[in-house]
Amino acid sequence: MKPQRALFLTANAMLVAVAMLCGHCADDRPSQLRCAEPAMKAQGIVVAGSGAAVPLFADLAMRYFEKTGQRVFVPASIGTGGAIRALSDGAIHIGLATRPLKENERQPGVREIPFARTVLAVAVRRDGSARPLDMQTIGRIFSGEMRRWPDGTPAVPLQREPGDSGFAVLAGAEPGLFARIREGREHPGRRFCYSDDEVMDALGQIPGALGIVDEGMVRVMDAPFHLTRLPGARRTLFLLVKGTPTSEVRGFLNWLGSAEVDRRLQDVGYEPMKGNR
Amino acid sequence: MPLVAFQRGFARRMLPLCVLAALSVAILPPLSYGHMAREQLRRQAEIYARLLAHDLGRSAVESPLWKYRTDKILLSTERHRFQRDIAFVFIRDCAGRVVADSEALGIGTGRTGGESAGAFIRDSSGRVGSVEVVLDPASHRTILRLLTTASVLFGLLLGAVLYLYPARVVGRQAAALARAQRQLRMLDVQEEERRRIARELHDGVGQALTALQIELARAQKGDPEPVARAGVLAEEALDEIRTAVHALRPLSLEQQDLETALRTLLERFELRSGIRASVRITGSLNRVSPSRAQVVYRILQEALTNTAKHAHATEVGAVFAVEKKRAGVFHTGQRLRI
Repeated sequence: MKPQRALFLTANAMLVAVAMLCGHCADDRPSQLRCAEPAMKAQGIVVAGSGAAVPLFADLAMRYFEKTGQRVFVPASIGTGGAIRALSDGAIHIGLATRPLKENERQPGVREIPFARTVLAVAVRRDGSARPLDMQTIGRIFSGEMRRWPDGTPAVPLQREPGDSGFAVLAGAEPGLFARIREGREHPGRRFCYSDDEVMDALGQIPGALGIVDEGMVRVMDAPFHLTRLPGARRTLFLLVKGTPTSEVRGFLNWLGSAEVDRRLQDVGYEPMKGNR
Repeated sequence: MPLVAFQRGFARRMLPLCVLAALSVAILPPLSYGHMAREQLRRQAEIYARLLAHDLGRSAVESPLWKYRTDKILLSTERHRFQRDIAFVFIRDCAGRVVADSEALGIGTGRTGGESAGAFIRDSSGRVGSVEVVLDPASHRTILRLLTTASVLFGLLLGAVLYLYPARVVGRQAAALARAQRQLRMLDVQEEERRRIARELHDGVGQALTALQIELARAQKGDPEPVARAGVLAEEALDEIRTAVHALRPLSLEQQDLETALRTLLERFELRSGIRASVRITGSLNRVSPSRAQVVYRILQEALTNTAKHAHATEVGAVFAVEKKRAGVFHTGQRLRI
């Protein structure tokens, strides 16, 4: 065989190989995924939103059911952003937000109603050796400067994602502590939690963990945590309602403004914001 | 000329093979790596999609409103080691609507052209959504670029070595063959010269000595006349021997340098033939080796003989350009060139 012919044939073979490889790659593109329509039936009032408010509303929903027989569903946390989207989709009746709505989140017909306020607190397990906690120690742990508790247990500061409303409140109220927390974000041993539920779970499961949570949330759950209050850092809980509520929802909202609820709020560390309701 | 043709033919045949080898080395490794890297990336995307679908599935079991908390789960992807390779992540609900995407949350490189994979999100009742993950091939691209550069350079180097080295070897062999052929021609010339001398000795000296033997035999019988003829015959034999010796190695070259010998040759030619002869020499001929000097001398001698025999010229000139390695004999008749 002449070399020119061999070259021509080999070059053609290589082109075919390349084309086959490209074809193979093209075939690997995933096809559009399909799924069945999920069965989501809410046989009652659906209240959902920030994880910090979920335990309180789960408690109130139980009391409301005991009082009226009306069922109020409080699913797991979907966050304030999720509550806004779910309300917009009509998937829930009442949204729970732990921050005021941003400009881009405001929609026609959506009202935000300040409901209650609670103070932020640094929580550790009651069986830990770290109490009482002072602000200096908290700052040293969050910044990564102090790695262990006095008894030798590793100190695990629980960080939150940058957009968390609790940390935004902290930035205004406790700038010194907030700076130490930000410093600790770059620490190799940091652990991030993406919801209040997750912080609560981590506090319960990890010996030596400490995190920033709502005082009201810990108290309503009766969680076995020792709290160091951050008096200047107060977080407001808003109710989000879209359009004209149904009679059942209006009934529930009215009950939420009752003296009975106010008492319960005060019992578990919340400050009712009656004037704004 | 056949050697040059052989050399060129060899080079022509070798060139396609060398180009083929260079192309193979330059193209195949990057191509193979690219294919393997895509496959690996696709598998990574598949694993990551399954992990994410698992997390979302747990969330869906906890709450029918799972699709409104997908952004938190997506944010938590930084916990996974694949996070730095993410280009895009899309989470779709049961209707196929995108409920969360990485771009809106500021996750992922956002570069297109990556490998994607999908997985279903399942709760206790079945499939409730899907996840699509696209991984960024940037890290593989960097390696691929380096590999391609190295392969192309190595391919070019290999092609050049494969082409140039055999060509050089063949060139050397061809030059050696040409030298051997020249030596062979020289041997042929020498053999021809020997035959000519043998012929001259046989025809000239042999005849003269035979005649001398006959005359001497007659002289032995008392005849005084042959003695005188024997002297003439001995003289002729001596001349024949001188001529033969001169043919074997020109006497001029024994006594003179090449330049002087050539001038003497031309002067004698002019005297002998009556044809006017001249010589022009550029550069010095005295650095020529003795064997080559003899060849040059003989060539001019032959050219002059041919001119005298065939050209019927009235004037002849020899030109030697030493630096240009050229020589020529010109006459007023037909032109000769060596």
